[in-house]
Amino acid sequence: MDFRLQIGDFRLGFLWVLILITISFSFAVAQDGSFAASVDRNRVVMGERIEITFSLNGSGKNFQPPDFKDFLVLSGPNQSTSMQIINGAISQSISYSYILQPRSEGKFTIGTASIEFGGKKLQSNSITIEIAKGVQQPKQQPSQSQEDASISKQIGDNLFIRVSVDKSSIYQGEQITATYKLYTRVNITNYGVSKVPSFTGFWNQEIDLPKNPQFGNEVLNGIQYRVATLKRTALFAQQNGTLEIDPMEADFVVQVQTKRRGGDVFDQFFNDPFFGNVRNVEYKAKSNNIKIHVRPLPPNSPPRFSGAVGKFSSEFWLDKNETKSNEPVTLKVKISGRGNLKLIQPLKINFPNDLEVYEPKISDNISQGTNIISGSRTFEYLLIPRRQGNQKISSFSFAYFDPDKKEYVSITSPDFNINVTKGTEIVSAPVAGLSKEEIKLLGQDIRFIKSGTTSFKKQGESFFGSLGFFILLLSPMFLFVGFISYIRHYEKISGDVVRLKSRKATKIAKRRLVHAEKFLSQKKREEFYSAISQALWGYVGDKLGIPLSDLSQDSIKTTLTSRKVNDASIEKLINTINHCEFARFAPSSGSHEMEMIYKNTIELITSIEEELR
Amino acid sequence: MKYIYPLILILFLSAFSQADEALVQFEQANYLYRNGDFKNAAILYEKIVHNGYHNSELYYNLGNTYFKLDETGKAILYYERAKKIYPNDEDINFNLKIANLKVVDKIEAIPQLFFIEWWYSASKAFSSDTWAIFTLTTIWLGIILLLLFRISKSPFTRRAFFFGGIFIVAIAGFSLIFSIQQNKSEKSESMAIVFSPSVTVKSSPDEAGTDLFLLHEGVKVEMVDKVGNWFKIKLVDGKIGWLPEKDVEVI
Repeated sequence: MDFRLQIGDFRLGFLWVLILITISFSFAVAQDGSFAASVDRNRVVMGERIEITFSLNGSGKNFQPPDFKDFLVLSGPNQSTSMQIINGAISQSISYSYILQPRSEGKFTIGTASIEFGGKKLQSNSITIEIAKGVQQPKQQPSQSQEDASISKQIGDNLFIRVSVDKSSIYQGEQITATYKLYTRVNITNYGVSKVPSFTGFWNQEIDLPKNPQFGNEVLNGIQYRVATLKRTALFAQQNGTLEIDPMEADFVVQVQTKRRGGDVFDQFFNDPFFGNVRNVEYKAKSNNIKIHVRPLPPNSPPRFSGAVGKFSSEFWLDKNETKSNEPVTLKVKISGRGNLKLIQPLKINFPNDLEVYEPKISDNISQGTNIISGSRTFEYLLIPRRQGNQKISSFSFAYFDPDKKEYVSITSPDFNINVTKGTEIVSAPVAGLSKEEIKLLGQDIRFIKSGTTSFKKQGESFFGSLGFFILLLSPMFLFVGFISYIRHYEKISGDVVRLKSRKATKIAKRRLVHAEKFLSQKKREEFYSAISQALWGYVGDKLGIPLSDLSQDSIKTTLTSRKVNDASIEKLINTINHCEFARFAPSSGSHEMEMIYKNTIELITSIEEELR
Repeated sequence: MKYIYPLILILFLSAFSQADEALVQFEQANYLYRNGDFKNAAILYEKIVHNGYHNSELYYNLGNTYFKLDETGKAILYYERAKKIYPNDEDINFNLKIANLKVVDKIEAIPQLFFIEWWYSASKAFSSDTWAIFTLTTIWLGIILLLLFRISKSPFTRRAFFFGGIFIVAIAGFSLIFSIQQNKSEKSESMAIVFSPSVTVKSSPDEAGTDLFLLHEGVKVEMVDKVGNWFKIKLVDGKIGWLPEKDVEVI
């Protein structure tokens, strides 16, 4: 950025200049009763002249000049008085000036002058002046470049930029203010900033200044300068250690007067800008560097500390304590004070899960003052409770470091309770993707209550597992067992037992005669009789326990008789066996006879079976 | 004027037993419900429950009353209690479904194997008492058939009685198992309904535990374990966590 301004053209009349200087001096002595000394320069070469002025804002008497023992007083005291009316108030100022010439080279101090003002004796400051060895003026005129160098040096003494800070040792995050000022005693026709400081290691905020620099007067090392503030910046160190504030560079166009050759009075008189013998010289000025010592913050920082340094106060409030579900509530946190407000992050707040929380809206109200950044930063949290019930926001705190007290300070909020009552439900309608039209439900409601006669039960009572249940469950099994054994018993005592047994005997006989039956149906005569005979032999043998080798008609007869089988049956058995032996080889007898034999054999076995039991 | 009828009824029946008194209160509460006085109906229904009486209809009506009062959690609790007694009642299941629409959390149940599902749905077809009566009926019938088999003489009837009897006794066996199972689920207090408007489920049974998920009023949870005042709960989708005792009500 290059802001240029035109310093007023000083090509005014010679007298005007004098008048203006007088007025400007009266501004310099700003307050009533201040008495100050100033020189036009404090470094001169032997042979050059110095003008020293003692000025008092107000009217004094009994002016006592200092002892100018090291100087030759060429003229003075030249007294001038001025009067001014500002907003109807009259103020007067008086000044005494001397033109001095140094007697010898070296460093001299001009002592204090005194004056009586309002019954008090005021003392001016003392001024140190350095007198360098006089340069032998060469007879020839200096070359152009030599002249330029000397002009540049001359300007350097009378035009410079200085940066100053209000504190040189700070805590990390603490604010300091850097001010860049232009000091001049020459006529500047034009200027522009060529390099803006970058403030590495700092977070900076520009403090607004009037668009056109306001020039005032300031005495530095006893010399009065016209001074304008070019730039003022609030700086917040971001790291600790030694940080350097960058210089500022600016280009100036300075009006200088060139000396005429010769030295006659006429020339001397016209050696003056008014008469046009001036030159514009370009000059580059660079401000000084300043080192700032940044101390780290003490280590015992509270957990909620997020880097705020300064002096703050905090306010917390909810816009309402009662709301309905889905209706928003706003929680505001306002942090006000001075410090690095813009670096303050939203506080960590534990919101209940059922609150929908949006990113806080941050609004700043920051005023810069003259050199301190202060104001407030407000965080607005929009909260939407989704469920009814009491939602509690537990207390949270804002912590900052107070560099004046050198300690951490926490501001804790109260607990906030939001009582959420039931609000309107947001129901999203389901999307029906069916081509056929569904039955339109006009409303959905629960089914109606049940009424009518019901029976109540004592809680915990149930039929299942009750004594009655177990009796009813187990009784049929006992009943079953009992009934079965009763049937058995009944069958035993009734005559049916014989019938049952005969049926069994027949079964046994039939099993024995399986083969015989087969041969009977096939009408194989020989095999049939053989089978019958075998069946009978086998049956008797098995039944009576006689081994096959001992089987004979006699052994059967005796055994059966001893087992009390009646003789008719024994006779019939023996006959049948004999008949079979005989019939096997006999040519006659038809199938009828065979059937008869088969039937008889069954009856025979059955009857023996029954008798043997 | 509109309370005259139930009042007379109360006076008339007050001399009767407590169960009859419960019946009178039930009728009166139904009357209040029909007239839209849900608040007092709920008080009266609750009184019956407080006196130690219960049945499915009472819980169902109480569920309806709380539904009308917009207390979803309580409505679901009582529907579930009604359902515990009559698991397959259509009205209960319908109203429970409607009430569940108001629950915020949508939890997808993990599908079970189909035959396990059949088994459980079969056992839930009736209450344990109904199953018990069914068991007794079938076992008696089966025993009678087997006795008939024992004494009958014709082979056809013997066969018919034998197989019929075995079949019916087998049915009685299954019915008994269902009855036992249903009774167990009726007696169990492992299910609960979330009662707080919202509760944060933690990873461990203390306040400092990590927040796992959020449950809202009306969600049904299974209680797996208990430590101090904390329940370990399991959702039907398999999620597990801990929540304070005070936030749930056992069905």
